[in-house]
Amino acid sequence: MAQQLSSINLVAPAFKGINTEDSPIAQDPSFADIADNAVIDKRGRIAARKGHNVLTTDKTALGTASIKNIHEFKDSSGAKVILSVGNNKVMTGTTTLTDITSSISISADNWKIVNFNDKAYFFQRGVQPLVYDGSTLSQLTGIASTQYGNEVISAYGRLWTADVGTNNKSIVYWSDLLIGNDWSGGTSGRIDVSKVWPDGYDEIVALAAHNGFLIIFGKHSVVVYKGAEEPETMSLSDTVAGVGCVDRDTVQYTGTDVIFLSHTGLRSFGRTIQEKSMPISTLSKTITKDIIKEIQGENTSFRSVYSPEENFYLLSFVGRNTTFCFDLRGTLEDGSYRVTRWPQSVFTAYERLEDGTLHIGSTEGISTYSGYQDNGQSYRFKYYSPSLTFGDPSKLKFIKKIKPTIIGSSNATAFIKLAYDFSETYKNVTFTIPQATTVAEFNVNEFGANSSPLSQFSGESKQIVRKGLNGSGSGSTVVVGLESDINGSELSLQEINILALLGKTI
Amino acid sequence: MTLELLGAGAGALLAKEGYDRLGEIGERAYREMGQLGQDLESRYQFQPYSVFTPTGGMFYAGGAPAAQPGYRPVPGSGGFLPPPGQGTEFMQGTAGVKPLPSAVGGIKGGVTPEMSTGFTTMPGDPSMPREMPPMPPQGGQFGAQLSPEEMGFYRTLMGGSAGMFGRAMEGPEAREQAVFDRMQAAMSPAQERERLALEQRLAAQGRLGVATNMFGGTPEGLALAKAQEEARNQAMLGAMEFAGAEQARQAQLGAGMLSAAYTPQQQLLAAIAPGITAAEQRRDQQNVAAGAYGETSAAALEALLQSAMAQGNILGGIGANMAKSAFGGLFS
Repeated sequence: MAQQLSSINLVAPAFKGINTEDSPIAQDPSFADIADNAVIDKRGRIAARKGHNVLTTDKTALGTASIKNIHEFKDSSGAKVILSVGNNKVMTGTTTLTDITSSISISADNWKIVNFNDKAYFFQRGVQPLVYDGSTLSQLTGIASTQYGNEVISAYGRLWTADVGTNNKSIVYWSDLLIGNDWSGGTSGRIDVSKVWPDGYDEIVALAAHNGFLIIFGKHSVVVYKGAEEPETMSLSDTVAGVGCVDRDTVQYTGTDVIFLSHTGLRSFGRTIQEKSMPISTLSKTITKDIIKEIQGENTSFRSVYSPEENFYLLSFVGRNTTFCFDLRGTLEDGSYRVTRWPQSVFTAYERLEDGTLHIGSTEGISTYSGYQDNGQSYRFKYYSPSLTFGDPSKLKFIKKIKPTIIGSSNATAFIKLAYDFSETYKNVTFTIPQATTVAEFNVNEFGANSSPLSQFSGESKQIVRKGLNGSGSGSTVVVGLESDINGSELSLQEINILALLGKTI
Repeated sequence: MTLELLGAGAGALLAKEGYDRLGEIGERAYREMGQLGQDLESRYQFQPYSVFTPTGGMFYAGGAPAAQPGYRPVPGSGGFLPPPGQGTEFMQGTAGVKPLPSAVGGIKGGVTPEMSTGFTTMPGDPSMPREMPPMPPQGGQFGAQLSPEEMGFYRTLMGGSAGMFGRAMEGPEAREQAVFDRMQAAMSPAQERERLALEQRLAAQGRLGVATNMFGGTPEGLALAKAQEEARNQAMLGAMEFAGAEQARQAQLGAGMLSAAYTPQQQLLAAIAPGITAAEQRRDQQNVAAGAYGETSAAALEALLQSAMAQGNILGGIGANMAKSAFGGLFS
């Protein structure tokens, strides 16, 4: 006697991002076990990330090294210069990397660069800082070697630096007001927080300025000073024990909060202060073990960027070639951000420009986060659901039909993957997404007839593919996956409809 | 002629008798006046006297008061030490020594004539007899003596005065430092409390490690240090002013004590003034009596001389007349 097929809809699968913390059986189907090279798109769907479009055509100055930092220098006249560092050089430009190091001898590239009063300042531990005035790079004077900090921020009319060296891990120095090359005169000063650490001892890793506060991140604690506009009278506002910052380059400002990476995951300053380091406040609760593993395995550098345009916070473990993408549009019920993973990431630097463009550094030079190719190459988008039981883990399921709804990805090959009962052996169902019809409209000027260049608009080459595919195999739990090489077109997974025959109870 | 010669001779003899009597009268007048002078000299001679005050002080003139029991002679010095516990001593002058009463006067004073023996008194260390200045001729000696209590008061104040002047003449630095140290000691607990309070406040604010180019440390730390330094400077100036004022006060006190030390002597002198006046009145009366005696004696002597001269003149006149009559008969 024929049995009725059960229809199970995975609507907006993985729109809650990766979850590797909860039991796969009990998981919400909205999570994903794997979401590689994916983002959560503006409609809350899992989608392929954009690629990086290399701008650099002449990277002679960089050689075979990678870009370690990118910075957009802006002065009060509005001039903008893209600065980048790598190969023990400081370079300008994006298409041609022009070495401006001149006769300055540089032995390391772990610079942090900040704009301050029409100049860009470069700081890294134990190295005389550099200053760029819009045309010339020179070594910073007026600062003692005991103030060559690894961290620098520009805030409240001053430069602030910390993390100088082995014996100077608890002192924050600030420059004279609006004078970046005066660290011993005027209103310059310092504060030794060695007696302030809530755990008795810590080392400064990073600094941040937020809402009148000076936030001093230690490795295992956070110290917050209020009234930092007048550093000589600023006073301790709060301390948080047990939560620190892993690396200065993980600190990002979101406008309303400060995000940083602690040893147990991503944190927000506002919530950390509010909740006093309760573990539940972590923003990466769904991948805690994964991220801790990456932190512990990272021995090169961390890079991060916040892009309000893309609504994500990227956190790269450069030595591990892994990037986590946290979607900041909203949080899950437990306060976590939805997260996806970008494996085999070659990104070594980020900079969000004033116009919203996201610049990415790599061994290929400077790229923009755009398009759907990585420097002309495709990359693999992966989605794997958690183990699905369809509400009854005791019964066998026979997958008869799989009907994914895919948006975009013109002319791409997609792979539907099925695995049963926690097996890692997948049954493949391959299909090709047909060529999309592009609708475009040119020579229409929306902003006036005389504007130049002439505006042009083109329609999205999106298409919706709903294709029914035959399934095979059976098991009490099922993992459904979708893989596709992204090679020039975007791809979003709207839903997956599964028709299954429920069998006997096992 | 013979009669006439006899008459002339008798007359000559009478005239000679008159002449001799006049001479004898002169010699007698001379002797009597000399005796009168000697008599008056003794009558005008100074009479020693002593004045005792109710508080035990004594003044004497022209002689020493009678020796009093209890005084001990100082061997080899000729002076006397007072009885134990009494601060009075008597030192020998050029004449013999007679100790004075140690507690004469009491509540009652008086004036007593004394024999002039020539001695004086000097206050001083009882154990150190002093060398006496040359004494005036006998009869001109005088002296004053304080009671033991007054002498003790005198010595106490003199010693105190010397101490005060000594301190007033010292360099002020040591005293300034001592006063400053005491002021600092008084201020130190409060300053320490303020420092600790600031430290506590800065620690609570997490600002113990603040160091600025403008303030060195924190603004509060600078303000506290400044306030404490100002207080220290004020204390230093105050100590200097205090030490100066104290020295002035010590000098003033020394002067006052020095002046007060002489109060017993002044009071003694003031007290003996009535006694001296009484003695002077007595002496004036003696002088008046001696003057009256002298004048009376001189008048009597003059009357005697006048009568003797009249007798001589009579004899001389008779002899002259007889001689004239005799010689007149011869040549008539």
